[in-house]
Amino acid sequence: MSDDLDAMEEGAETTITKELVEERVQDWKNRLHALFREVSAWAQKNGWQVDNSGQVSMHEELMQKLNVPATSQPILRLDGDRGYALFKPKGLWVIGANGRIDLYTSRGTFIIVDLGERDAPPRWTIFRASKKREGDLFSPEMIANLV
Amino acid sequence: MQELPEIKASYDWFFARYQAEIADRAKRNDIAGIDQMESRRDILERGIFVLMFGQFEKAVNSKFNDAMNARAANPDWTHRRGWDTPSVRGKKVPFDTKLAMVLDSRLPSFGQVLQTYATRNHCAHGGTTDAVGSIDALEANLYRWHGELRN
Repeated sequence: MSDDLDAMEEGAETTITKELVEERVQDWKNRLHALFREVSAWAQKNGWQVDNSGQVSMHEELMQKLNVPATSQPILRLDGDRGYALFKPKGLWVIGANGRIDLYTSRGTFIIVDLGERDAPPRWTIFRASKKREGDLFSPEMIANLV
Repeated sequence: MQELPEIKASYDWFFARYQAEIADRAKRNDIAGIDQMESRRDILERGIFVLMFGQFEKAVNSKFNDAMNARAANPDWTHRRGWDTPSVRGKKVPFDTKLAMVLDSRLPSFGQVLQTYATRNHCAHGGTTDAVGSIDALEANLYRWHGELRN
């Protein structure tokens, strides 16, 4: 019912071009930077050590198909007296969300996905932080209870 | 969606072990080590995604059959209308047709289900290496969509 690219890119009516993929990659990186800035600001205020020098490569299937060169995604690491939190982006084109970040902490593994509509502000939602099936809206203060 | 809790429980069992095993790599900030484990998790989660969506497909089939049997047998043509045509009988009725008969196609869920179904087909035939966003989010969606089905 849908060709390869349509199934990978939500909204079957959109023609997928290299430019569109490049735009979406940039948008993803902007969303990551904005979220990590917010988390870093909270962490610094609360005495955490913040390391935002890490990077992880991004060269997803759709980028490869349209010859979009590999790029890097930022990683955020927080260390404090009680433990650590490592925000590692998983990728933009994930099934059922507009990007995913894995959050590894001294207490466990959590999943943060953007459930916002495309071209709308992100709706970062964290799963497994509580028993709520539909997840919880993510905010930096949550970190205190997740380490 | 009788077997959905069992499938989800199996996933949760896996996830608890994954968490325990990856903790050491995360503590050491071993990104390459985490990547290695994540690629295995991706494969497993795609499989779980197909199985979980399969439960929803079964629910749509069942709802559609209930609706068809009840309406096709109705002596009043206003209720029977369209439901007694051969094109909606048999095993070859496309999923999107069945869905349209039991879920209002004007609801946002309708498009979401079809998009998920396209991705499910893509996954089941080895067409993607994309990771699943969140199995928990998928579970929540499946229960929500299931609640919107009508016979």
